[in-house]
Amino acid sequence: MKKKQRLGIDELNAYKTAYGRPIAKEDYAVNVVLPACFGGALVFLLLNTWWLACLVGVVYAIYGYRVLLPQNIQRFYLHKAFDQRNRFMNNLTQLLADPSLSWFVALQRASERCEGEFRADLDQLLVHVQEASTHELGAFFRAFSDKYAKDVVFTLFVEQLETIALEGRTNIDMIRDIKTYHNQLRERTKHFVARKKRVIDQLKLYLLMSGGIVGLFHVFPLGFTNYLHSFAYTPIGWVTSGLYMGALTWALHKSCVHFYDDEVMEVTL
Amino acid sequence: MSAMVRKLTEPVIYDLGKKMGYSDKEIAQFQLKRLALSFLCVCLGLVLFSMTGVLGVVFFSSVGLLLWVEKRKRVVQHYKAFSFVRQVSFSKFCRMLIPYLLLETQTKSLYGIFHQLAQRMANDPLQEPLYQLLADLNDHPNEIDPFLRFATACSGTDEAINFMTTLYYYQQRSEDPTLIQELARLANDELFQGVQTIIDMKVRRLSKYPMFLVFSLGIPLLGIMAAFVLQLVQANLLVK
Repeated sequence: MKKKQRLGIDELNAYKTAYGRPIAKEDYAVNVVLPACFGGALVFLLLNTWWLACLVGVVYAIYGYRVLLPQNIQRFYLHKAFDQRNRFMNNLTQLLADPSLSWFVALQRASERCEGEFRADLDQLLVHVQEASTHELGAFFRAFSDKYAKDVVFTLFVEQLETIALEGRTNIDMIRDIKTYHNQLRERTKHFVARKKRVIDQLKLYLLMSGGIVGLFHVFPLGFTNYLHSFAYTPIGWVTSGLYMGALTWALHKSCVHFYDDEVMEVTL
Repeated sequence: MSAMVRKLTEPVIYDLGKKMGYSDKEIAQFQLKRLALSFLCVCLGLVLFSMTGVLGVVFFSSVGLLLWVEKRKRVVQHYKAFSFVRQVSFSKFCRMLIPYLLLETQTKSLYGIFHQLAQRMANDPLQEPLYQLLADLNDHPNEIDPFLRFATACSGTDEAINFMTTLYYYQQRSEDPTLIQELARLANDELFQGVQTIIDMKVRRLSKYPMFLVFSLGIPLLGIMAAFVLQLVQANLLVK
């Protein structure tokens, strides 16, 4: 996975508002408060030391704020943007099939059904191409698709749109083909994310079970007072709990990295 | 020099290295280093013979052998990863090619299409083989060999060879629309097979972590057991 640049909260907010609502309280609750509570509670359960629990809670909160929140918002943004592009491609293909509409009118109508940042980009493109000469036309289309260069299929589509604008509607089969391709990819990505969500649900269940088992350790095999005095307050307890927390944190981090990797056509080994 | 090293060591490594785009010299260097490392281990065993006896020699020799095998394993693994990534981009390339083939207004020049695609695929593992294919097409026009070479270099699977062969026939026989449909079907199958493999792999990668979480519970359990035993020992000592 490529190293991402760290985004400030203002930029994140801008991402999120690009399609829909700004960052709300529940985003903070899910991504920052929940991990903090989880980490703190588990450490408290293991070692019964409140200041250590607070410390771990703070570390988890910082992790949530710096890693989970940006990734969550980025995924939201990317999916919304992808859906918008998909809708646009489907609509425009339908409209272009109607020979009574000029390509410009078709583009205009298709853009009316889009929303968010993509709509703004489309409007800008429309303004640009309305009075552009044939030479400028290509440049404007390319500037538009450059922003979405990661979506290869979409850039292919825009390229065909440009061909239509320049040479007339000779390539409707190709446009249809590209649209179908994009739809198929969307379908696959959805399934992929759903499968990963199932694994994450399983992970949550196991985490809950782990908490239960650690709770069980309090009464078996040592008994509550003995648990505190011969495990929780001794070096044995600190070392093994530290190792356990380390392994747990590593596994959770790795799961997050894999969970937020939605790319279906690229892989790093 | 490199020919000698080649004879001395496994030629398999040469094939794999060549396929991954390393030069003869680089591979020879790698092999020499590998040979030297294992040789050093055996020598160390012989030097320490007086101190450790026969057992030491056996130990160091087996370490040397293990290192030798390990390096080879690593090369094979590296090659597997490399060819998988390339195969994925090959299927992407096939799928991207279809729209261009569907475009009937353009003069049907595969060369032009390849060139356009090669430019588009910047930072892609397929870009270099594509440029090689272009050069190859220049040298051998109207031959099937460049197509086949490209298919073997990029993917090597039957599907890939099938696809490139069909593409060649498409170029030769100009008016046959069913061929494009056939190609599109092939490319689609190929791509979505690749996508499915990637998805499966990524889900598999993710789904080993829940189990890991359960197993890692063993660590505090071990600690508690140790505490339990310690407590028992202490209690018994106090009684005595």
